[in-house]
Amino acid sequence: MDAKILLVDDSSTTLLMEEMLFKKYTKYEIRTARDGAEAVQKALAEKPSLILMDVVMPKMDGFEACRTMRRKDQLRDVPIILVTSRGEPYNVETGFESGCNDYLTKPINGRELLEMVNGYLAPQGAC
Amino acid sequence: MDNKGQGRTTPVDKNSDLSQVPLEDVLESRAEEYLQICWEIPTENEKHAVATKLYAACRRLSAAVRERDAAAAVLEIASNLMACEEMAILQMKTNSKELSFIDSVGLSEKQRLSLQGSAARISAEIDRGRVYMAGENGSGDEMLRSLGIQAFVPLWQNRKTKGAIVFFNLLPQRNGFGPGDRELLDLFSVYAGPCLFNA
Repeated sequence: MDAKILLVDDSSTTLLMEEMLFKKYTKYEIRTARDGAEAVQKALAEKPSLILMDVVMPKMDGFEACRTMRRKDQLRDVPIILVTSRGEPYNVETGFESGCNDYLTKPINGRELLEMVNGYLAPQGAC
Repeated sequence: MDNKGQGRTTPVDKNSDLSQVPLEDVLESRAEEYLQICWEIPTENEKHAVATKLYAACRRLSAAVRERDAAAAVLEIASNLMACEEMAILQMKTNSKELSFIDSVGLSEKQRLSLQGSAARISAEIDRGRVYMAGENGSGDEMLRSLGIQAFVPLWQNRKTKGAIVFFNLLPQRNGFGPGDRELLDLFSVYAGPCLFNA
């Protein structure tokens, strides 16, 4: 079975770009959410193989969503990559403290994104 | 000249007539062209990254035309694809050189005042119709540099300039402009105006 990725971002632009890249270059199933609260709900329902999540979002930000997911048994071990618009040390440290496995800074570089995600999921369905 | 497959990523023309076809159709068509370029170029190629950005920008602008949220879309695209969170969209009033803010994000009071205090000169820049990026050092760009503007995009509509997008500082992870930024600004210059002013 192909791996499933949950893409979380309140920006349609970013989601469009990420979806296009994953659909072209991988066989991953894609699910999307537009804020942290929806991400937690969808992650519990869909049990994704990896979560790629923006930090600054309405309702619940990526740090809080990450912390919430890590408190759930079903999501404790799912790789979470945070996508931050600000790559300063404080944000990176906060990201890791919230339980993320990795982070990327915007603007997203497609090649870098694919390499990082495939690094976590390659055995499960990358092209 | 047919240069399909060689990474053509700047097929936008400010003089093109956008009035004959629904704007969202034009943008969807552009998006498909950029998608095709992505298909044909390996990810290692810099032009792939450029086409990816332009694809997402065209699709987002197309949706913005339908949903009538062009200003928010422009700010969102620039924030996510250029990592700039200090910018303003300005409109030049008809028959005068006065400027109004259509929308903005992240501006300091100083930046806002500097734009308001330089309205006449900014209007002249809009009339000049030239995309400016810091670091290119074109003649006549001194005023924009003196205001701390990193990029300036005149907005065309029906072969006239009607406003501008002004970009101040990029986020700290950006060391100046990179691949795709110039093409994205050119795209804004041609398509953001009709998206904003036709609404």
